[in-house]
Amino acid sequence: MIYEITKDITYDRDMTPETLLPTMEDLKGKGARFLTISVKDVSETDVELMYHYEIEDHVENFHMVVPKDKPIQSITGVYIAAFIAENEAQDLFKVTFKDLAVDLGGKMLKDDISPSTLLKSATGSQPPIMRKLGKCREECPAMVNIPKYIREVETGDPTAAYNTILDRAPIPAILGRVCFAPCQEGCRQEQETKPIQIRLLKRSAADGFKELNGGLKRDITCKAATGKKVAVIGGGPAGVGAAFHLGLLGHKVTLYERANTLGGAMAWGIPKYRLPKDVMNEELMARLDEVGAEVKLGVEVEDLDELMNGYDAGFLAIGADKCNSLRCEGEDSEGVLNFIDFLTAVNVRDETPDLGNKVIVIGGGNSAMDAARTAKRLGVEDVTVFYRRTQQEMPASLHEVQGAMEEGINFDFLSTQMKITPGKPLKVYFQAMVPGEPDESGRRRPVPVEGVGSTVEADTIISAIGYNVVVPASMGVEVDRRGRIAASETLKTNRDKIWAGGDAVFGPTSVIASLRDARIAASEIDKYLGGEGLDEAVVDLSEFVTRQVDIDDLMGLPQANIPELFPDERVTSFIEFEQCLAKDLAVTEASRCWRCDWNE
Amino acid sequence: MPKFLGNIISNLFGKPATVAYPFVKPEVVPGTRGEISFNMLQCDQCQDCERVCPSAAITVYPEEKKIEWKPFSCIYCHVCVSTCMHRAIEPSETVKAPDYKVKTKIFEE
Amino acid sequence: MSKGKLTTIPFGPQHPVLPEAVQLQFYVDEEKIVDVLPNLGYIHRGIEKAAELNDYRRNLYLCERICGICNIIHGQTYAGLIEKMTDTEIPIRAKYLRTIWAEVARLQSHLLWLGLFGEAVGFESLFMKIWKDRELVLELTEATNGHRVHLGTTVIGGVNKDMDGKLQSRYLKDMDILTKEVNDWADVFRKDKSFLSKTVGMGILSKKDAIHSGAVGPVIRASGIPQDMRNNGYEAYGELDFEPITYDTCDVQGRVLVRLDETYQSIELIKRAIKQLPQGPIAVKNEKFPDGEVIYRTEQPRGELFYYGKGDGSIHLERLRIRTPTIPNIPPLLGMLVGHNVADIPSIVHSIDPCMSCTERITDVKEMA
Repeated sequence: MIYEITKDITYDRDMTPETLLPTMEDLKGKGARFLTISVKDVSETDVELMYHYEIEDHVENFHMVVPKDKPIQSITGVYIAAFIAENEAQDLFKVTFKDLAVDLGGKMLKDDISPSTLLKSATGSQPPIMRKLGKCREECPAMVNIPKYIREVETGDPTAAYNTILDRAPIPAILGRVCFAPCQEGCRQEQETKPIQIRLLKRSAADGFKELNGGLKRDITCKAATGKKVAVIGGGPAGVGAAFHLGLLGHKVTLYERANTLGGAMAWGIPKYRLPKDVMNEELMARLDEVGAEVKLGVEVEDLDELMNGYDAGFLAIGADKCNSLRCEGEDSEGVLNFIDFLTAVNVRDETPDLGNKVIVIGGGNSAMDAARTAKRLGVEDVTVFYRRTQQEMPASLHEVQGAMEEGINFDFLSTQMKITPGKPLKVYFQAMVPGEPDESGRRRPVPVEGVGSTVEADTIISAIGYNVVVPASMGVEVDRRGRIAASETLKTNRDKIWAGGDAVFGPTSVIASLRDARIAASEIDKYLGGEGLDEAVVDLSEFVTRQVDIDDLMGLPQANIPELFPDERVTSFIEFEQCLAKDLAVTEASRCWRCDWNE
Repeated sequence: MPKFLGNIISNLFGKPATVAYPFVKPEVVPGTRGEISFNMLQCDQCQDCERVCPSAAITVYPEEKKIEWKPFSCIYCHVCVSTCMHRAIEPSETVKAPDYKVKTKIFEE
Repeated sequence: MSKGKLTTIPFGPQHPVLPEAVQLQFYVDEEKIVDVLPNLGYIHRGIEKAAELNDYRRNLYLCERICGICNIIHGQTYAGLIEKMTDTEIPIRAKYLRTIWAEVARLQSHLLWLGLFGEAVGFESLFMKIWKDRELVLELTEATNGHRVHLGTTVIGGVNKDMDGKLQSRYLKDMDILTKEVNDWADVFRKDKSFLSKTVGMGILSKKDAIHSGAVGPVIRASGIPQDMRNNGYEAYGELDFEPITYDTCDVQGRVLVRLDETYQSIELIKRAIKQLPQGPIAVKNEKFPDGEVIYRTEQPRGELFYYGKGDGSIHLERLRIRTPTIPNIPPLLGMLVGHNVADIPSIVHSIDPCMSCTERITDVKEMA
């Protein structure tokens, strides 16, 4: 059967003003029926006329482009019925027809304003709300294209998802295990208490890619070599990220790292049960090998002037490693460790120090949780964490605190250390506190309760109340009043050719924030060296993303649980206790996404 | 005339074909598209409803957490009801009554 | 013959016979019409330009509001246009449901016209009776989706409302009641002497003139040419054994009979489609933005509706051209009127079923909403 709907209509004849009337006479002889004339502006001066006719059940179209200022020959001599369409064209497109049989002179339509009908780019008078980036993407410091890779995980394509994440955050296998996931707090489904487990999906993309590919290294081609050399000082996330982005843009990068392993704070700070060191090394070396960067381990850079003679630009990512002091009497006693020394010994040098039977950890952040859980796995029976505010105000991630509680670690809130008495065992006097007025971070400042306190005994005390940056003076860069490197908004320091980023500039933050700095600095360095830089995260109006249709079925799906070992299995060793989501569970979890960046 | 006689007699003695409207409310069919109201406790200012509205009757102010709805521009198509993922727009079956002035409705927390 | 001057009589824009506003200027010589000039554009709303400013999904709601009586078919034609531009194939059940509702629209429109024509010719209680029967159809529409006139069930990719068993049996029952009611008064149009004296032999449109001046709809079908877009088999018409109805009389009475028989035919088509309704989903999603140029022609109660759309792969359409069926019927009207008496003007003008709000124009839209 013939469907009276045709796509990509062919123009049977391209007419010119000379052939117009003979074509019409020909059609009249064939008994064609006149349908209508469609008119369209093609530019400021030209107008396009399309004549539609019906000949024996199908439509034929004739096409003519003429300038607007000259009169167009009318066809009412042949087809009288065309006078309405031609009068309409006269009124609206400001063209004139000559020999028009019924000429209403531009007054057919009862409108006396003179409209301009040139097609404008139509963002129009409807509210110009175009595509959004998605709240998860806006919360991520590095602006990873989260909705896109969730869709790619849903189609079961880990390679595409891996490449999407790598564009802005080059270490997905590590981030899938350690990131504190601000994106999950931005997820709009948080209101129904079922946010998408974005971190687990990232890990399943990375692990899926590794399984398909036999490793984490990809086969990619970088841009053409520019002949410029860049030095990156520091092998943590900011350093490796900057080396990767700069290498992709065609520069020759040399990475200097003081320790004997790459990773920086990821190497010494994150315990092995959270991030196995072989995974970390594999991923970092894979990125550096893909771009052909040179790695110099065990080399400490002191004098920047001498180093920069051989390079065209430099990036400082030296990180932070000076522990804050407990500020109480007796903090230098034997048995009081700071968490950086303790964790470095366990994580990097694989030592198993003997901590006795009872350990106290002072602090409330993620490092305190790491220290406490590491101590538990070293065989200590009684581990207690003392924090000076309440549980709700702890800066540690919720699942770290819950995991620690499940493993049998005790917590004591609203206690501040006042005095440590040396000896075996150590004695600590803790003062009870109550929450007072809020300070500048919004949390309530603890106020001591006069006369109420207790003395606790312990074999070892681990202090984990924060750390800061130490910049060697020989580097010659300017520091701000807190000791961090002073950098502008584009991460440029006061020294010529030197940029800086990561913990060294902003203080201890997170892996993902360092990766953001790495990308910004790489873009700026590339522009300085004559390139174009990297692109920003903007909406793409030409991409078609469909919305979810079956909302009721979608809301009934439960949130995927984090697959973990049981607490009593976990504390016996340092194996990685969190496992990867099974493939079908990952696909179901990805299908729950609401696609807040829809564009259809 | 004789043909219409049966009709005339049945019309004369039968009940009227019309409904005495303001005094007798007609039956409301379930599924009638009537006025909408916004539940601001559920709304998270994502502006999806503003984007799909065909007649631009919804304006969302994200900072002030306020929604302005124009009942005289609205065409009662209920596309916004099926678009909102939090189910924050509640449809009802009462049809809008006529009014003297064109007003807008503001919904706030 | 006259000795010089012709009288000018303006007919419209407001006239008791006209449902919509159009002005015709008659040049009259002592009761005989000599010439006619039309004046259009009273219901100019700028729909084609507004269609360029909207994104393509919102245009559906705009196109549905071009005309009040035939709104369902405008919506379905636009949705069919976009579906072709995005290469979407709608499910078979959606095609049947769209066909059923298009026929309901046609039924309602023909009943409206028959009532108005009866009143224009002088039969007032006939008008009341026909419109009372039309209420059955409107209550059926209300039972489907809650609104009497704007059904609002079309979406791009299918329909958004399904007909369950209870609704289907209500349709079948109401169609039987309607047939009985229509049979009561149908003979007035066929056999009543005072009616026939006003319609037979009036407004002659010969076969050759009909094709050449581009008439559409019942106007051309009353001149013996079986031109009906439903014959092309779009939506589900191909599976319902459809044949166009023609009469050979070429006058106003022929047009009345065509519309009366089409009322019976619509009732039959609705019953047949409901009995044959296949199972399946009712909507699919489109996969990309509209792209390419498409022409789609469907059949409205008044004739052939022509849509031309051009997309360029983005969210806005580049051009939308709509030509509604009353426009091509005006040149035949001007030819039909010459030579008749002034007293015959209402019935002849009304016989082409002028639905002027379907006429749309493009202009710069100063403010929307």
